[in-house]
Amino acid sequence: MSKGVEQVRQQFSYVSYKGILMPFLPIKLTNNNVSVETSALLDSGAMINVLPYQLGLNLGLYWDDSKANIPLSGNLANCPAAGILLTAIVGNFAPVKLAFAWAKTDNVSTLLGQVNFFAEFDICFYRSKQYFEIALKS
Amino acid sequence: MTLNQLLPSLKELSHDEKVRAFEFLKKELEQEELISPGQEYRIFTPDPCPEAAVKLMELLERGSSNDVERR
Repeated sequence: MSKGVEQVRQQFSYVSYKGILMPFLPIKLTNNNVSVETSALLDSGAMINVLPYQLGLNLGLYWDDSKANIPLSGNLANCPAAGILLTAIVGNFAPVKLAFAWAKTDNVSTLLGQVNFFAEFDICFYRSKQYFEIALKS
Repeated sequence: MTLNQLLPSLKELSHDEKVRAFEFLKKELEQEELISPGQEYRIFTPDPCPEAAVKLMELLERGSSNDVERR
């Protein structure tokens, strides 16, 4: 939930996930004229943004195995993924273009990683105060 | 009481009492730990996948529309 209204820097509260406070961010994703509001995890350790399968379908994307050319590893190893571009709106910030690996699994949360969410925004975590702060890249 | 004061007394314990003391401390430590034994913790972060990152950066640079639109 956004606490501030200023454009430059905005605060969001941590969200409890199975009893653990996690930095989930409310975000509006748009593909063409289809928009979905969801909650995405700010994951500074993730190299890329990841979109779960059903969310992509809800955004009007069509799965095509021949387009799944994004190699994933670790807990998503062997999971096919396709590269997609979406428009994202966070809080009161202007829309930004985000590239996602659209994974053919729902066993993953929507992840916001280094490419390219962390390239678009500067983020400070204040875990002890249970909020995080997002600013447009300077 | 400090640990140094306590250690001589601990050394005088019988083997069984030392085991009980050890188990007592182990249980105390487990309760103090933030990570609870037996609880499942989900790791969200995929392992680093640089090839995927490069492909997504190329996609951003091209700025082309998605080729996986609904037919």
